[in-house]
Parts: sequence; structure tokens; C-alpha cells
Amino acid sequence: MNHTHLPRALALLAGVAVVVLVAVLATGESPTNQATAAAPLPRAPFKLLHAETFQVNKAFVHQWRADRPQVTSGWLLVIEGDADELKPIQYLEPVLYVGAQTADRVNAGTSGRLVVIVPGDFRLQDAPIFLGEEALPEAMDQFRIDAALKDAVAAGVVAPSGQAIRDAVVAGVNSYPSDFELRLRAIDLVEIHSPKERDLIRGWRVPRIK
Amino acid sequence: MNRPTNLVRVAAITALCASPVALRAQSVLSLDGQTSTVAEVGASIDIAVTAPSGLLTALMIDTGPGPTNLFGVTIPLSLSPALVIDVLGVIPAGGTLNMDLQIPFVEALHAQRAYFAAVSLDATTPSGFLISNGADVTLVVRPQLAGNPLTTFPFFEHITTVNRQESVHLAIDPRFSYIEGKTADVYVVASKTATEWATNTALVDARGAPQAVTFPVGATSIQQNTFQIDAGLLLGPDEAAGSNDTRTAIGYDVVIDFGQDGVFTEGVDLLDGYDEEQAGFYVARNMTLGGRNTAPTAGPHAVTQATYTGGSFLGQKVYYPSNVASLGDLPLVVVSHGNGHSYLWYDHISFHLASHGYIVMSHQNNTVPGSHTAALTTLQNTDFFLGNLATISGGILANHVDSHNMTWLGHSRGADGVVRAYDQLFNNTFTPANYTIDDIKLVSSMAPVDFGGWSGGSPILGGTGNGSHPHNANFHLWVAQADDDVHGCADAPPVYWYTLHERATAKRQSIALYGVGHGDLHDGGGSSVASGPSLIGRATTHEIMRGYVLALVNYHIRGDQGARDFLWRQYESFRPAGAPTSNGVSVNLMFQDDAASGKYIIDDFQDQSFVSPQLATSGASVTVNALSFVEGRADDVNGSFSNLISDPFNGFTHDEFDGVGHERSDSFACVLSFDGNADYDVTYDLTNANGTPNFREFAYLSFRAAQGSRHPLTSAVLEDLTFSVALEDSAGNRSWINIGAYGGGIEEPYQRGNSSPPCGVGNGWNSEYETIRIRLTDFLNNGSSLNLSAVRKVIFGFGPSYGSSLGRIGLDEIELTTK
Repeated sequence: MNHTHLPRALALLAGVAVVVLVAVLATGESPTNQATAAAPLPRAPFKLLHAETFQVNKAFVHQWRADRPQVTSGWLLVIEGDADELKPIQYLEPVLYVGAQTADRVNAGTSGRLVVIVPGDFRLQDAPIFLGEEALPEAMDQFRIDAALKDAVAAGVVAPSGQAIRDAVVAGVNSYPSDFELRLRAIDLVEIHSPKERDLIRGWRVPRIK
Repeated sequence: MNRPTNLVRVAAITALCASPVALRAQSVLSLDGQTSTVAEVGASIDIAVTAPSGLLTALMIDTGPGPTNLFGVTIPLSLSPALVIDVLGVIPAGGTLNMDLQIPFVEALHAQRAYFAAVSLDATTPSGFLISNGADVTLVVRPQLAGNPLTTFPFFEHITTVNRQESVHLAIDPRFSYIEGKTADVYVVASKTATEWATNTALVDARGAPQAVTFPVGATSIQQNTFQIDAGLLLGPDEAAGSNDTRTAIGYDVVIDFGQDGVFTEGVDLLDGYDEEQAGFYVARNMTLGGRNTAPTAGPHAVTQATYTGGSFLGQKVYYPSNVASLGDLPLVVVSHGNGHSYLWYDHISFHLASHGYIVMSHQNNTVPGSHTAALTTLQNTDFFLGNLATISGGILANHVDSHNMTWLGHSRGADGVVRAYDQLFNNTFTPANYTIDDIKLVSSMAPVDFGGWSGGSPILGGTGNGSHPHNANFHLWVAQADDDVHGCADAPPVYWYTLHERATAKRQSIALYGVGHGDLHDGGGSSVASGPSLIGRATTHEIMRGYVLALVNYHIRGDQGARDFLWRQYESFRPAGAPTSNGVSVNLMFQDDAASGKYIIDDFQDQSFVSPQLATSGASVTVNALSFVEGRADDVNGSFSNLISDPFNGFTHDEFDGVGHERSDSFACVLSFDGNADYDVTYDLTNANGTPNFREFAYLSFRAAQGSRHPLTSAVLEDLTFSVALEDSAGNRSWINIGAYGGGIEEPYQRGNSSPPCGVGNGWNSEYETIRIRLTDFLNNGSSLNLSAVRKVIFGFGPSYGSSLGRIGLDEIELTTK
């Protein structure tokens, strides 16, 4: 009987100072002491461990937002957070964002380390990595995504530092025929960073018949 | 045959019959198109008289064939004192006059033969009338014979299926007076269809020899006419590894050979199993035995597995009989996993089903974005599989997949996904290349979330227009009562357990497993994701699942009649051989036929009842003598399972209403209490119901009932609850049956507390419906005097005289069913 999420999200949106977002996106610096009472629950910050850009020759659909955009490029990241918060459940999970984009979680992250595909050409220093409200990523439209980012910024979530980005980024652009090869690359990263997810890894590394 | 007669016309015709003038045979009489036929009591036969048009014609019915020469007239009847003459009417222009003759349902009429002749007034003949040929009908009864003795009334249950190595009895009530004092040979024979019985009447006993029985003179009870006919020696299917025998059960017919001549004689002997589809009874295999990942050759077929991918989220694992090349087309079962799960985690059911002749394909499922995306994955993976059979596993499956008999089986988000996939086919928002919606014969959801709701309109869940609605699919639900993920608490509609089930409009059924967590339904290891007492663990859960899922698909996909009993009979008294019963195992089943089955709904509490509690869905009037009776939405309205007077449907999460429409489901019911201080009842009077049903035309009275969770009257006695049901005919004859007679009762709610997640004060979780079915002829046993053809009231009795002294129950789906 509790349909509380949408009203809460709208209320949060209304309480966010848009200027904060503008400032953050413009400078890449983290706002301080600007969290509002309407901010989302504080969550442990994500650490950026690895970052590489990709391109695919054949566009694929980003299923993780309502408008289902076509993707030809983006970031492949490895991030680390609180394993308890990443534990997969069937009910609504907090949506993972990288900047103003929903992230495609490649693995479950039971180790605390997640490999994610993030569509779009953007600067990591402009993109806070955070968990938003519990919701279905496939239901997120631009309005809600923007609201989540505003909430996060208002709550003090910041983008990775310049040093963290420099340590994580692998230079160059990896090009793949399709998202399948991209995902196999992602699975390689899962094996490195979350090797206990053996069935996930095994499930992707099966012979391709077509 | 007791049609009213026109006495004047009868007298005239009788007088004419006495004329000495010889007649010419110009009138032809037939019964169901024949001059000699057999008809069941309760059936109707078509009487056709072909004669010159315009002649007033009557039908003569007698007990003897004649012929009798009366004043020079030859009449093909004995003209006994029992002669009845009934005016049929005037032969129409076409020359043939037809009439349906309803044979009364009187079991004592077995083996009686009636003789017919037609007489027409014909001024063109010398005598002035025309007499037809003679015709006759032999009346037979087709009683259920095989089953199990019960310790209380009705003292016997006629069943469809027994497990192998379990005894079988024969019983026949004394109302079948034909048997009284007779000695006969009882045969248990390999099942034949009715057509086969018509041409092959030889009796070959499957036990090696028939069994002589004598039905006592003066018997007054079915117990006196009960005989064990097998001690558990009858063969079921061959369970040996590699047997290739995938039958659910072996069918047998039971014949009481009164002639003791080794042949079935219609109109003399009694036969249980005279049917084109269903045997007299079935001996079922051990449904839990089969292939396993640790023993892939242990089932009827050895199992081969293969993993491959067709690209992103097209990873698949297929399981099939290793000798598939010699097996023709096999049905396909598609498995869609849940969030954070793997398509490699369903070996426990996939090996089992494949070893029993199914092709199982478990696929990668894109669940994290949501169940709408998962649904797309199911749709696409099914299409990919069917479109690439020439390549998969070296092409061995090509031309061996029966794509017109498919099952979609999903888990958690994947369980919602398979329903939302069906919804997309239903709404034509997805068009597969290699299958259609008609090919999906069964959708089964294990612990589903409900993100799509009724029509996918919820903005918070995407508003995709893709509902979690099974529509007209045969739908099945698995509920894990200790599920700590899809937890079922009243505060979270997207994880209500029953909303998908309640939306389904075709056959629908469920199995609820106490002490089972969300993770117990897969075999990927790790946590059971369970909260509650008496957790039974993954291994025990899988033993229950194996037997049940095989029965489920064998019934819906193969049409195995021997599998149906596993889907509705009380688990306490009947379950797959090998299914566990210890360590806290408790299983509740629901089963409801669809409208196409010809059922009659007495009351489902929908719409009409909601505004008029004294008027049932059928139009029957309802008299309520019970405490705290409420009709309404089966919706726990306060978001917790705490018992509150203001929340009469506490613990019921079958309905979810947001005040403006059926966002989730639309499930009405009634609840009532009985306190142990008196007897109470709810009475349905069908006298003025819509199309007042003839109970003779139905097989079972079916309903579902649940104990009200956390209600003081439930918590006072935590055990199976029983009550009684009566039928009353127009003469006031009444017969009661306690639902506990068949074993079990209405299970108390799973005593889950508030540790995870919190859901109010107290112990007890969802109010759990169970389906109860009572064979209508059971009410007739032991001289009850009830006339099933004239039943006018259905009475539910509660309290000390009728079963449990006190309790709080919900009641719903009161129906008469045909099977």
C-alpha cells in the first residue's frame, strides 16, 4: 500500500538547489557543507579502481534507462564500494549512477567491486559515482536521473579526484565489434577484481555459436 | 422416462392398438441412431421416429421386448403392466420426429433394459395407425471404484492416482443395489479407452488372476463393500536408469465381472475407466527420481548438457536426452533466472526434466535493469534458441523440439519476467520470429516480484505499459514462505506473493513451501535468503520441487491425467513418492480450473457480492450465521501483519487496491470467525441461482480457504483447521462431510515473526489459501438419501460439531467442477 518512492523523489527534487549542480559540473570540484535536509541517505563513497574508454562498431541499447538510448562509446570502469549495499536483491535496489548516467552493472559486486559500463562521452572528473534511490534502472528517465544527481551532489557526493582518475585511467580507446566483445572484456575485469563470481564469469565465457 | 402423459391421447392410442387390423411397417424408430443401444443413467438419448409427415405419434416404453399379438396386431413390446405411453407430437414435414429422453440418475437402474416402439395415427392404413419397429436401451452406471478407505465419512475416496508400492482398494456404495448379494470376479486390467472397450472386451488381469469378491446382502455402508485389490504390487512406469519410460503413471481399469466369464459385458458388469482420456486409476512413478547433475544417467533418459552463447545476454545452457535423435519432438522448458543469479543454477530441475523427456534451456537474463528488460531477454532467448537449432549442440536438436508446447519457468525477477513476456505477446508489443503466444502452454513463476502490476502503468516502476499479467496463460506460482527477499510483507506490493496468480484467467495453481527461502529455489549455493522458523534448506526443497515440477509439466504439456492429483490433493495425504515430509516440511496447494472446463461458480465474491453480501456470484442467496463476517477485497490494508479489528483481511495480500482501479489485482473473498462457544454456518441457497446447477453434472465441490494470520482465534490453536460442508436437496435431505476426512485441513499460517523484515506484531505471515475438493458423489454414501439432481443448498458448518472448535478463516472460489 506504500507508494512512497515517487512522491519522495519529487519532494527531493523540489528541495535541490540547481545552482549547486551547475557549480559542480562547471568546476569538477566537490561542494562542501551544501547538503540539504532533503538529500538521500548517505552511502559510502565509491573508489575508482580502473577506467578505460570504449567504442563499439555496432551500437547497442542501453537498457538501464527508460529511453533506451543507442550506445557507441563510453567508459568501462571498476569501482569499489560497500559490499552490503551492492548485494543483489529482487526488490528495488539503489540505482547506480556515474554522473548523469545510469550505470550498467556487469557483475553483482558481492566482493564490493563492480565492473560497470557507462555510455557516453564525458569527463570522469565531472561524474560523481553514487547510489541513488531504490528503483528500477529501466524506469529512470532523464528527469529522474537529473534529480538523482542533484540529490547526490546536494548530499556531498563528489566526483573522483584528479589523482584517482589519473591512477585509474588506462590510456587509449578500446574498440570492439559489438557490446558482446565489450562485455567479455568486462568479464576479464570481473575475474581480476571479483574472482569469486565464478558462475558469472563462466556463464559469459562459453562458445559463441553465431 | 417419467415424462407426463396426455391421458386422453394415451387412451385413444391404446384403443387403436387393440384393433385387429394388420399393420404395415412404415414407421422407423431409432435410439441414438440405433435400434439397440446402451446409455448411462443421467444421460439423454435421441429418439427419432421416421414416418409420413402429419401423423400424430406416441412412444410406448415397456420392460419386455415382446412381440405381443394383440387382436391380430403385432407389437414389439411385452405390453406389461409397466407400459408407459407418451405422446411425442406430429411427424413434421421432413418426416422425422426427434425428442431427447432424459434418463433419471438412479444407480439402481444398472443393467435394466427398456424397450420402445412408436405408434402413429394413420388414416391411410386399414387399421388407422402405424406401429414402428422395436428398439431397446440398456441402462448402465459408470461408478468410480478405485481409491482409498477413509476412517470417517464418506469412508472412501475415489481417486485418480496412487503412488507405486501403495495399496489400492475397490469400494462401491450400497445404493448401487445391483451388486447386492452377488459374487463377481474383480479384474484390474491395463487401461483401455472407451472405444477400445467397445471392440475388445477380453479381461486380462494385470495382477495375474482375477479376485473373487462377494457383495454382502443387506449392506448399508460402503465399508462393507470395500476390498483391497492391490497391495502395492501393480507396476508403475519403469524407473530404471535408461529405461526410456517417461510416463507419469500407468493406467488401469477396474472391472467387476458379474458374469465371471472373463469378458466385460456392457449392461451387466461394472467398469471404472470407461473413458476416452482417463483410466480408472493410475499407478504413478516415483516423481522425484531422475537425472541429476551428479548423476546425469540416473533417469529414464541419460542427459546431455551444452553451454553456448549467441551474443550479449544470449548465453544458454541446454539439457536434453542424450538419445534425443530417436525421440521425436520434445517439449521445451525455458528457465529465466533471477537477479544476481545465474543461468547455470537450475541443474536441479533441468537435469530432472530432461531425463524425463523435455528439452530445457536456461538462459542469461538481464534482470538488474528490471523485469521488463528481463522479459525482453526471455522473449529473445526463446526466439534465438528456436531459430538456431541447426547450430546448437551440433544441430542434434534440429527437428526434435516441439515448439508448440513450451513452458516458461522463471525465478524472482525472472519469474516476473516470464509473465511480462507473456503480456507482451498478448498485447502484440513483441513479435517473435519462431513462435507465437499459442505455443506457450504454461507459465510458472518461482517467488516472483510484481513490478509490472496489472498493466504496467505504475510510473515508479517505469510505466512501460508492460504488465505482470498472465492473462489467459495456464499459470503456476511457487511461494517460498521464508523468503527474505521477495518477502510478502503487507507493506510492499511489488513483493506480494499472490498478485500474479490472482490476475491469471485460465487454469491457475500454486505451491507454497513453508521454511523455504528465496535462495533455496536455485542450486547456486550460498545463502538460502530465508527468515522464519523450521527452515528446511536447499536439498529438501529441491526434493519437493523435482516431484512437483514434473507433475506440473506432465499435466499441462503432455496432458497426463495421472499427474493432476499431485497438483491439488492435500500434501499430507498424497504427494510424489520420495517427496520429503519431515524436518518442518509443510506444503499448501491451490488449483483452479478455467471457465472452459465447464465449471459452475457458486460464489467467487467478485463485484456483485461485494455490494450485496446476501447475494452470491451465482445469484444464490447467502445466509450468514458466523462471527465477524466480512466480504471484500482480500487485501491487508494497514501495511503490516499485526492483527487489528479494523483490518479484517489481515494477512491476505491477494488483492491490492489503490482506490482508483485494480493496479495490482482484483481478488475478493470473505472472512469469518467461530469462537468455540457455538456452531456457525454460511448457507448458499441455489434455488433462484442463475441456471440452477444440476450437481449430477459435476464431479467436485471446490473451494479455497485460509486461516487468518495472527488472529487470536487462529493463534489459539496452531494446527490444521477443519470444518464441514453439507449439501441439501429440495426435499431437505442433507449430507455432511468434514474436510479433514481426506487428510490434512487448512494449514495454519507459517509462524514467521518479525525479525526480517519487520511486519507488525506477532507470529504468522500470509493467510495461506488451500484448495479443497470434495467429490460430489461422496455425499451420497451410506444411505444419505441426498438427491444430487435436486441439490438446493451448500452449507459450510463451523465450530465444535463440524470440526475445529474455533478459528478465523477466509473462504473463496466456491465452485462446482467437472474434473
